[in-house]
Amino acid sequence: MRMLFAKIVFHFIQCRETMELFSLKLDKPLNWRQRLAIRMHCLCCPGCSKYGEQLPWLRTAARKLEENFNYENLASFTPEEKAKLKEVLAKQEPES
Amino acid sequence: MSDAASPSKPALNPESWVDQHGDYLLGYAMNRLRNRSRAEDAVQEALITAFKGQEKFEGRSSERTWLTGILKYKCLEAMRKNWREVAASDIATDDNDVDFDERGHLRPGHAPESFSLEPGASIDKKEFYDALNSCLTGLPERTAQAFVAAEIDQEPLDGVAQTLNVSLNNLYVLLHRARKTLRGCLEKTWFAESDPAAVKPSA
Repeated sequence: MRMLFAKIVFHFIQCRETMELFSLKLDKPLNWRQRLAIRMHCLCCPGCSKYGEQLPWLRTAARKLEENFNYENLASFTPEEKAKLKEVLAKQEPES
Repeated sequence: MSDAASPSKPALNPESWVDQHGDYLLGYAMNRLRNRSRAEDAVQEALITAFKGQEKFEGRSSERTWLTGILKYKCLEAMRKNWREVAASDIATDDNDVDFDERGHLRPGHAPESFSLEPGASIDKKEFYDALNSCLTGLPERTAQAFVAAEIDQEPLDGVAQTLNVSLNNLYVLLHRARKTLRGCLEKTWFAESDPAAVKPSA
């Protein structure tokens, strides 16, 4: 009951909820209650403050994954599969 | 004459696609679909679509990038097909999250460590992306695909939710889980080893 009161009046939330909101913030605009709740929580929680800085960084890193990762080493076609694939392609006609 | 009509457009070499890009495309599709035969099908469909649509290649990107762009959509199609019959039953609850105690506080030792967010520190190193990709591979399939489609491909979220056959709110949950797990995984596998300056000094 006391927690509920704190949540409503002071916008106190726990780490679990704060981290959910930090993620949600990347996906859609938060309302003022949610923004205030994050701020209040981070005032006294260095762990979540770091989390809030690291998530946008993770997004930046993820967007660079494709240009920096070599997918070639993950799997390969056997010579037979390649021959078959070439055969299939040879049968196709380009559309003009 | 046809050369004069489009002098700057680089030529495509469809007969070399399979040898030049086949394994790259297969690896790319495997990474997303986690299933060899579905990945092979996607690559074949992508190559056929590319072959038929050679006219649409404008030469703004490399041949490989162009083929990968087509494959990306074939992979999304394969995901949609795969999840169509599979309802998302386990998304709403996440009670056994070991990072939190029963009141939702972070347990001691589970709080995020600080690590260097400077671009030069890791985001420019090729090896970093090996670590990121292997963390991504460790996620459950639907969670990983949510992250890839939303964050890497930057597809609109309502489309991603449809592809994965989940509600938009469930997609938010999947993305939260993906980010939280990836962040933690990178902290353990990449930052703990490669960036001693970022490790908290022991008190």
